[in-house]
Amino acid sequence: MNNSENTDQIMRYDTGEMDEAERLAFEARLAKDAELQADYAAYQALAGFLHQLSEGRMLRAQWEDMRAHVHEEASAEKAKSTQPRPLSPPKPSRGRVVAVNFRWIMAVAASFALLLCALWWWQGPYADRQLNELAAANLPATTALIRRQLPAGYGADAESKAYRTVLERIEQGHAAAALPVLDQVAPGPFADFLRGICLSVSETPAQAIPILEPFTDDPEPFYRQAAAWHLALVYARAGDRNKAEKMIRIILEDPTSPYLDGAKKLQTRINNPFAL
Amino acid sequence: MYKTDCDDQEAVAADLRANRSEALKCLMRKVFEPFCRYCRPIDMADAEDIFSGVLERIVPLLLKGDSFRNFYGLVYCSAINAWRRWNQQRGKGPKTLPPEDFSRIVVDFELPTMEMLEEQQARESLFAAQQECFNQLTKQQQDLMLLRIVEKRSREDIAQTLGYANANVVGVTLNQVLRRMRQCLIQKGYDL
Repeated sequence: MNNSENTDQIMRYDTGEMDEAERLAFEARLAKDAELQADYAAYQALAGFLHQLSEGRMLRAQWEDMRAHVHEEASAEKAKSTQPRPLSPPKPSRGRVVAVNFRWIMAVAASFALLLCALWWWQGPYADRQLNELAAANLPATTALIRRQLPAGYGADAESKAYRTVLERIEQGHAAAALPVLDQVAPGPFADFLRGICLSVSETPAQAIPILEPFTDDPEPFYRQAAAWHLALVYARAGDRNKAEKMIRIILEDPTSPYLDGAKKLQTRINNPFAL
Repeated sequence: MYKTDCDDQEAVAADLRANRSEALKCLMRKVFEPFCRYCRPIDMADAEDIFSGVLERIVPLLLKGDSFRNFYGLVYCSAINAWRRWNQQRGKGPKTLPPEDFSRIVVDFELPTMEMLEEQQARESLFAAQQECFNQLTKQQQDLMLLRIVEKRSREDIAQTLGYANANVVGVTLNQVLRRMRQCLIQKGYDL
């Protein structure tokens, strides 16, 4: 396209502006003239590019129209599916209706449940520790009561020795180790009572219940008070609130009981697990 | 109502040449959707932009060919290459793009051979060079070329539409523009 005359002719030929004679003359020249052939080839390449460009723009516009239509249809479908359908006539309003988002309700409920789980998890070991402290604080009262029941002068006989050993082991916190010693003494209410006490402070406190339970009705305040206190602790640990309360009432009936303070604290602990 | 047979790629290409928009729906279903799956995760707006760019630049080139057995495959591979270039421009891709191994891609149409892809790449390069040269022209010069060569409007008509003094000015300007385009392409290594 170095020759502007060639370009004019090529363009007139291409756009169909030539008459028949002119067209034939041009074609004849095109067959012979190398420069015209080169210009014509260059023009055709550019024309091809411009056609492609134009077609491409048109294609893109059509594509974008189609995609916009697809998006519109999808949005309309979505809006239709989310629109509530009037299945029945609206019910008469019963006062102010508060719109609450269901998701929020679920979130609050889940948080609350999590909080409860956390409290339960935290409260277990905490409660056990509190009960252990309470039991340890009142154990001297029990050992003092037992000591008063031992034969006067701490006899030198085998049975007296055995009782003393039991008492020492309870005081030292080795109640389970006292149980074999109790096997050596003659059976009787006192031996049974001591066995019940040892079991109540051992790792198997539930075994103490059938042994100590009869002593809670005993006319002897010593038996009644100590058995009630140790059973109250056993029931509190087992989570049996009613039976623990019953034992505490037995203790509170006697204003001289050495377990009064402990019983009151235990009662508060049972009624409010986070107090004490 | 006319409906394009999407499984017949030659029919789809013919309908695209005939400017039937039904064929575009075939491209959307058969090529655009697998392309989006391949490029996942990608924003739908970006995927649409890349693909519409491919339709604008590549499909008219493909429609000049004779065989359309791999029409979907060529559009698909071109779209993936365009996506890789797009990633590269955003700094997410490698600095130099290795040749993509399309053999591992599973689609429900035949993928083109390496020779076909290379041939396609050469056509795309020429088109890109032509477009760069075209973009260097003013808007009026671009419109002048399109009106005269594509729409085949008369010089008088163009003079009136684009505000040239007369038909001769249109002729002279067009000559200058064509010469400039050719020089630009020669500079880029394409001697037409």
